[in-house]
Amino acid sequence: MDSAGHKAFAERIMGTMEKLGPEDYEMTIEGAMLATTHWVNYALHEFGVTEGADDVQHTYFLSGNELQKFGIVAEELLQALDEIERIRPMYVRGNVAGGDKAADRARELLNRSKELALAAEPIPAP
Amino acid sequence: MKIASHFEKIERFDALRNRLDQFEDFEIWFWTTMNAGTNAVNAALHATGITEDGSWYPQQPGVYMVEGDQPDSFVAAFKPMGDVLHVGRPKIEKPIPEKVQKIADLMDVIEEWRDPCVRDGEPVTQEIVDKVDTAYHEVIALAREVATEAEGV
Repeated sequence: MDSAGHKAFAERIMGTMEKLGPEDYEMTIEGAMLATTHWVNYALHEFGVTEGADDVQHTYFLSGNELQKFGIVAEELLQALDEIERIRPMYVRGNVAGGDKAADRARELLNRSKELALAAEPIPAP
Repeated sequence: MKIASHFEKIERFDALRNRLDQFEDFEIWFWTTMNAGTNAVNAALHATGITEDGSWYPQQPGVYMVEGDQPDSFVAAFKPMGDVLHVGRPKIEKPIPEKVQKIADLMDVIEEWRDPCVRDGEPVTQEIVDKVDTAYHEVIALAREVATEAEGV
């Protein structure tokens, strides 16, 4: 998917997330994961580091080499996605208390990811 | 997670998917459907004794997050098979009862549209929405049947 597609998807998902309340904490976390993934891909395409065929899905699917390479330009974005991913087992798949607070943190990470992604510009050739 | 907790999540997911627009909110509507279905799969697997219902939460196939020594901390650990992430993750090597296999097959119908429509931009059609919705209702009904039958054993 190209940059414009990722941006459109991220914004659509964020629009739906406005309809979610504190009782919908699982899907707030999942929405944050999905939208942040689109922002990561948007940024990596904008930086010129990846193209549409190389979209990132989950941080835990990335190799050490990919994490190192993408981290040069998108370390904070990848950390944000990784933190959201780490919330999921306990609060989305499990029923550990505090899901609403975890969802607030996921929203915070998503908003920061959007800010970082929209600031991405092509990196100059070395 | 306990069977009752899976059904509690299903109730809330069901309420949410009914509040969302199937097209305008497709991504979260679909993801809610898929998550409710996965909870149904896990409830059915626990009810039939195929997987355990302990308080350990799947991170990746075979690896679960468990409570750590510090308050509110969780650490990765190997545990007996509990909740699955998706049908096939991890693969279950035990014989699966017919109704539970039917639930798994219906989840495959739902999950077929996960990456194409949520990540890769395939246009969402009424046909896709109907297929997902029909499979979802069957999954939940079957899981309730399996759980009720198990209670009667």
